[in-house]
Amino acid sequence: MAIEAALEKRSNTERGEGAQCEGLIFDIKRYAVHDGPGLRTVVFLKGCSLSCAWCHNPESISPRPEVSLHPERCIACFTCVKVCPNQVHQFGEGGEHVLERDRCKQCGTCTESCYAEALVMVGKKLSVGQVMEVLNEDRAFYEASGGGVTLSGGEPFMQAEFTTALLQSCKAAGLHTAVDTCGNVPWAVIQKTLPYIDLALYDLKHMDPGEHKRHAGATNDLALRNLRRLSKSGVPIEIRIPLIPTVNDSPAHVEAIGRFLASLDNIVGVRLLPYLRLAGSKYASIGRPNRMPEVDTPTREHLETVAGWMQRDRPLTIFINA
Amino acid sequence: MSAQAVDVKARGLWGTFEECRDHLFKQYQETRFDPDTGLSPEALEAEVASYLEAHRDEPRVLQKANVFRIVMTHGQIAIDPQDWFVDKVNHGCLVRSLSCEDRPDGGGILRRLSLRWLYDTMDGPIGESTNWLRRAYRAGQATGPKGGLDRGHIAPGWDALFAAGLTGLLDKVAQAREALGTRVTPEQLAFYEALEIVYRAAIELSNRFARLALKMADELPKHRERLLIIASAMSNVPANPPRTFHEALQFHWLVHELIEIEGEYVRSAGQFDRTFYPFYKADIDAGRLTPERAKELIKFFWYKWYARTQGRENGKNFCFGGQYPDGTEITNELTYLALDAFEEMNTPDPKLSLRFLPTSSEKLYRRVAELIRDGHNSMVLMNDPVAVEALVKRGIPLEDARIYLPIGCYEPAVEGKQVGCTMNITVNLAKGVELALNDGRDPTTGEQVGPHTGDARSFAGFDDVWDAYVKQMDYFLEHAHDSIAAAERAWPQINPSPMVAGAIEDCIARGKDVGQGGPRYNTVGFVGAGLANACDSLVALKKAVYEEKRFTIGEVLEALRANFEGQERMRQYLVNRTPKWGNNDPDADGLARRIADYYCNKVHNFTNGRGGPCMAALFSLTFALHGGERTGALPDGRRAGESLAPGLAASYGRDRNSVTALIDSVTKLDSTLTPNGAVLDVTLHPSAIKEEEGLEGLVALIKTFLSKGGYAVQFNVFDVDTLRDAQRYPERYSTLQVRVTGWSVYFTSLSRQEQELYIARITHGN
Ligand code: SF4
Ligand code: SF4
Repeated sequence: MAIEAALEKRSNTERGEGAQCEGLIFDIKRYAVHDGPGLRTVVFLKGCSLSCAWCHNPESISPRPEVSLHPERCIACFTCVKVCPNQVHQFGEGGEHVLERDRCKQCGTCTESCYAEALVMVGKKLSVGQVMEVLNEDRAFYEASGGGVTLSGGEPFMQAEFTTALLQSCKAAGLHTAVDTCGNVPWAVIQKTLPYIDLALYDLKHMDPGEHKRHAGATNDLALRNLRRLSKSGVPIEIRIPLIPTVNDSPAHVEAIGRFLASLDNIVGVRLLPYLRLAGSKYASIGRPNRMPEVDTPTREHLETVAGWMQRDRPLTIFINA
Repeated sequence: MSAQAVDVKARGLWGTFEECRDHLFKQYQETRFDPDTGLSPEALEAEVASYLEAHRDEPRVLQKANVFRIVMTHGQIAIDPQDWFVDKVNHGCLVRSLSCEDRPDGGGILRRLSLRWLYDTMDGPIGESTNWLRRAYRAGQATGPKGGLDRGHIAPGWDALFAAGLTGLLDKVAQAREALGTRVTPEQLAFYEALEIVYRAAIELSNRFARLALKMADELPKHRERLLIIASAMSNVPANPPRTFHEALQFHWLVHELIEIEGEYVRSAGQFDRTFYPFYKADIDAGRLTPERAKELIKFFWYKWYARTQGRENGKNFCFGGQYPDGTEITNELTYLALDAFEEMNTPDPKLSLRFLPTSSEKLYRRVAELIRDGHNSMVLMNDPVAVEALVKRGIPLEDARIYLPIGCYEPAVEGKQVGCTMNITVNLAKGVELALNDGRDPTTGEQVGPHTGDARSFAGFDDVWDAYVKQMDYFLEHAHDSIAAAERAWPQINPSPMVAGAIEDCIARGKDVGQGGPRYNTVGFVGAGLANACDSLVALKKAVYEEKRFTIGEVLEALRANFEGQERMRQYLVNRTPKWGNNDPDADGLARRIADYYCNKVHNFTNGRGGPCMAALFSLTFALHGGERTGALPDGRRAGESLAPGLAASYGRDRNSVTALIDSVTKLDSTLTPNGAVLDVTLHPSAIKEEEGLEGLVALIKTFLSKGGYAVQFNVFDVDTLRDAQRYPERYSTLQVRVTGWSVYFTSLSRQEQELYIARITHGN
């Protein structure tokens, strides 16, 4: 995985003062095509200020490293049981692997000695310099496609110092930058990074504060206020809407989104992301209860209908990732 | 009249492809020959036998020519009134595939004759080298054609054939004989006589078709118009240069057929948009043809390539893009028209390859990317400057190198001038590691197949491992080369090929057959397979044994012997914690480059049995599977019997760092050292190429691969769920195509084991 490769890199100290700044990263994905223009490398930062019920990256939510378990890879060598200083690992009668997660101190001893990678530490500390090494490897692909780097999460602005330093380094290196944010962070943090952002990917989940709180764990006040401010800042914005049947796809709600977006500037596009209930095993692997709504994936036809509702007041550039 | 199933419905001349499609697919299975048109295969067989009996002392080239003559002038023929092209001669094998030599009919009368001569030679004059190669094949060190002689990678020179017609070739034969004067040898005289016999027989065959078409035109008024066109075409080609696009296609297909009936495999069907363009353009300019009708002719023509093998066989390649001998770009309106036809047909055959130049237009990139995205996987994308440079480095003049064609799957040969024997041997690069660790003994069979290079336990460090590897490979390659050279020298006794000789320059001028060094360029291909396994195994030993000292060499040897039984933790360490080729890892990539450089340079030091160069390649085709079956457990964590890595790519499931890292690794190799081809298979998840963004991403991926100096790449687009579903409900997915390193097949026609392998490759983009 690219993130393992990044760990091997020696941070290049000549990259400037921010190069040593460290962030908690849970994945680096190369050859991404739907997270900003061209071919991109997406850096996933761990920790989120929301906790949406439909989250398909549940390992991104906690701001701390987590041990994930993939029992299908386990070779039953029981090394984890032997090496864990805190007796986290137990195997039941039927051979099932049980983790007493409360006792885990994230020391990484078990994941290091699980060669089968049945235990993996989600979230690795990486310096800006190390991440830059990986980002630079795909420079030729960015150039051929007009692509670049996207910071995603989790919520990148939760790691404000690291995100700012990484964006600065990217711009210094001449890379196109995009940040995928839920916006539920202090405006000052976003504001500081504006000179280094070429494109904001801004998540919009629900227009109703109560509904937003119910599903995402916080109201939408801050997120919507920040979006209004951002839209005045001159940074181009792509709105990303996870479309979850019964939660946010009613005509009235979609029209409300359309009206709101019509009042904003610098919206270059709206992307509808159809809900996919495929993250069950991810929840299980980190021992997080799965609250994903039990609804089907919206069809392309439905997404197209939704796109129609949204443009009742004003035409928008809508992308559908069906 | 012909006994073809004739549709009574009146039909127009044009717009019939879709309704004929099913019928065309079965055209070679359902052919019925009218007994009045000639001798049955049994009677022909008897005629041939009595001829051979009466001419026991005739040189083989003349025996071959005369048998060819008997088949062409006496065999039954048939014309399908629904088809635009004629080709059916009843020589005992109509549905043909490359492995037809192993079928009961042996591939027809002429092929059976060649096969008999091949077996005689293998048991006699080249017995020793044949046995040496057989043992090497058994040990999984390599694979190759029977007797070690690749007679099957022919790229006829269509431009020259079209310019001269067979009548023109007869003139050339006369002139060449004249020019040799008194220096002409009896062997050359026999060769020239054979050429005359086969070309006259071919012309007579076309006249027979013309007469039959005329007769049928009277009997079948509903098809009269087309039959008259056919009659007119057959009275002109292949004797004379084609006058129309239709005649050019007819000429091409019939001569291709005759060459294959004679006993060679035409593995490149030519540079379509260069060879046929003048005929297309002239017809369009004269108002004789519309692009739409031309497209329909292309479909009828191409469908034969598919119907012939029923989609079950390796590539017969049509090439597009690329350059003229003077370096100007070829791509023209026929390029795009043919690509449209290919898309609309949606069949696994023929295979297409695209030659990209730095000047290739955005339109060409996008069109090709669209086809790939929509599941037309059977396309190889070649990096023209690199492929040309690789040939020039091996002594081919630039103008000739520029008209190379990817033969079969992807091995370049100069059209009409080179007999490449491109798949003469496929070498298992990973087997050398196994032998180096076992003092030259094959641990599976206990046989000493390599030289003694010492007990691995006594190796002081990684350098000793490397030295032993090189010694094992040197020994193998040198012996393999000697054995192939012995087989090459016996070629004239095995397979005289007068029909094809006229299609390859300078056979006529030199008075030498294709197997006697008649062609201008005579090369032998050494394909290297399993680069990833060799690299990963060596780098794993270097890291885990000699650097980290995590395991001793003795422990690793024990584990390998036990096929990792009871050593799963070690195996997991080797799989997951040591560097792997295909991830842009400097250690792994450096070693892969070292292996590739060693191998290619070693091969390039050889001179082949006909005095020409040997050409290195890096890919694997189906040998990944079959060579893997004969290779024991390796230090890269691969278990005994498992497949080797596909082509140039990482081992199955070991490229975990994205396709861009894979491309970074592969483009670190020196592509100009693989004049016989080096192809990267890339599997993409459909979500990665969805929508406009995905298409642009794919274009950028292709461009970057080429600009980084990669040799050739082919893409597959898949999705694990689709494939699992296809396993459960094969009938629902009967048209789902996959490309297995160099050839595309219907997924549902793969064996279960192959299907599983394919599924293991679905790694990128999700
Ligand atoms: S160390 Fe890994 S493979 Fe071994 S028992 Fe624990 S989880 Fe399973
Ligand atoms: S990370 Fe450390 S504390 Fe947590 S389970 Fe593994 S070994 Fe035990």
